[in-house]
Amino acid sequence: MSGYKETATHDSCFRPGSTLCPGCMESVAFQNLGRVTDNGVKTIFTIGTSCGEVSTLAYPNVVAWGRGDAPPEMFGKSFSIIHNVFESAPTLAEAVRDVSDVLTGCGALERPVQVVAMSGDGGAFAIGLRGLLHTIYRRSRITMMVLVNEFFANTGFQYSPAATPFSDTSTTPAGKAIPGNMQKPLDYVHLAMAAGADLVAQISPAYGKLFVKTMEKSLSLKGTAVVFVPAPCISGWKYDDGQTLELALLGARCGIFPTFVWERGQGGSVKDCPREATERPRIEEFLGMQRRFAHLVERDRETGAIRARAGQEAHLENLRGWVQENVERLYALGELKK
Amino acid sequence: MKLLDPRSMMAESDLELRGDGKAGGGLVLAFQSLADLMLGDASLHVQEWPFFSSARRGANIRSFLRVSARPIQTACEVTRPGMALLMDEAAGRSVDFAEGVPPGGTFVLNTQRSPEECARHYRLSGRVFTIAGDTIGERFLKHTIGNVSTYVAMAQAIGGFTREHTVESFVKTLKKRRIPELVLQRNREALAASFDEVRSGTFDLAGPGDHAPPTFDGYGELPVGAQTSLRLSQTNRTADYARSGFRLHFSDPELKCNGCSHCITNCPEGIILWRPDPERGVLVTGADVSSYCKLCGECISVCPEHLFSEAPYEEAWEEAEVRS
Repeated sequence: MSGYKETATHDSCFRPGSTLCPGCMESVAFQNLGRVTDNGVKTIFTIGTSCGEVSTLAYPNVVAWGRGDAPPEMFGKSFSIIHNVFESAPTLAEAVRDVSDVLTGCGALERPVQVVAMSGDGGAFAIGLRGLLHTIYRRSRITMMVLVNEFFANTGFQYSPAATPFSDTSTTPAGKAIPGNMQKPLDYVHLAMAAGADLVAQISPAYGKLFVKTMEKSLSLKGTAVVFVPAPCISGWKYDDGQTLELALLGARCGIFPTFVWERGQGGSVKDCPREATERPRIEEFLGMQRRFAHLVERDRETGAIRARAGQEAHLENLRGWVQENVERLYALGELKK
Repeated sequence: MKLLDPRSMMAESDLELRGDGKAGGGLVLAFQSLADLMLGDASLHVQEWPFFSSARRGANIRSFLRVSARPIQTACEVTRPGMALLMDEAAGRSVDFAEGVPPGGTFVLNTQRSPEECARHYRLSGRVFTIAGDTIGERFLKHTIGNVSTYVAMAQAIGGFTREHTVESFVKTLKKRRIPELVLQRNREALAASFDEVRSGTFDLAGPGDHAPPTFDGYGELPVGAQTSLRLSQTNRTADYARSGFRLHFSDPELKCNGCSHCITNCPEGIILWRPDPERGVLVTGADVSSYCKLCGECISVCPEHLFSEAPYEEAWEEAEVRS
């Protein structure tokens, strides 16, 4: 047994009892990460405020993290979590790495540790972009996992710089005058590469094997690894139960957030998302599953196919243009070696 | 037992209502629309607010409403309601929805069961109204949501509103929420159907000390930040978040599990049970659904062999809590 199946048998450090929504992608990502980090090295997590923090670490509720009791010699199973405000997860991780390096250098810490920072996209791109970029720029040896659900889900679905164009959020409500969010999202993948990260990936746990492999590689890297995890949000994207992984897969395939893994020195590649729009699933399939795009598309009563609403064709065409741009850009970024 | 009439409570002092339900279950809309209905009467003062814990979709929530002929000065949560609503049978598993209701009070339940069954089960004394709101929601709104029906049941329990006024006030509330015309029409149909589905009865089945109001003895051992019992969940039995009346079911009599492990790594709660297997690597043997399964359905959609499914179960009713 090896690879993905072997990882599945690891002890996850994320336990039941969190108050996250049923089917939340954050908890799925935490489960995956919890298993990957059970690799014999002590892990130090830093987590910025997000749903994932307030629903798993909120005092006085139960803490949803832990691997149970273990004897001291199983030091590698242990982990710690430091939580701080929105923008602080990367900065804190940087500090943890520096301190642990000093302690290892002077012999106080016998075995090395691995450091993982976890943020939401609101915390990482809107409030804490400076902290994120600074940590990457300093080439801290940490792994950053940014859960991109395209909102500030924790505070009530306000739009974030990662919001897909034309999505209905509480600060960009779709109506007669404005069809949802009019901003083009921040190109965070390119930004992380430009700032100096050694590994940049955009991948969700829906690609199980590749996700686990990418996380393992990130943890063993000698530089900064940034993994953006597209995280469908059941309450904000408003879709039916049991569709989280399906949506993550479909969104990646149709080019909204293509799966992309890039390593400095080796270049990168886009996975499972052809450059030609005709070879990808239609974006309508992705949009039609979510009520945050209900103002844009509708289901044809007779054929069951999803099509643009009357008068919204131009917006949909616009969105299709952005998706194509997005895919082309990631292909171009994949060509970059350094 | 003297029956407490909501109308005279309103006139004399104030009528207090409390609702228990689950986040996403329509409790907020039911209370807001009832508040709007009350506000139609210019002589009444109304105070309404929902209470959420930090927990998310499916978690227990409460809603409060005060109506009075005099200006309302009180600004605390309702602990001795004259009328209590149970929006979801499963919500009654973590809290006693009738706590603090005096004998002779009014109880409204969104349930398939008869008023008598409910009165006996929850040991209620007073007027009991029931309505199968989820069924009506399923029929007209294609969604198991009982807000329309419980609104009608509450309006009938209070009494004194015409059908037309009740319907129009609700539609007006919906319009504020930018609901499309098609959905408004469906809601009208659901409202019309609800009027004839309300069942009621008067019972005196509470024992001495049942549903006693909470006593306040100071904050004592409570940790800082824990203002209310809703936030004090030390167990976080998150199985209560699941859709009411259903539970995850695993069946693999022919050992079709191919050991792909996707359900194990992708279960948000990590409750999939498995054992090592020489051929497959791992063999999934089920899921521990007793305490934490939120029934998110990811295992159902991710399993290539379709071994997981949803199955109905009755336990929510059996486990409902009656505090005495």
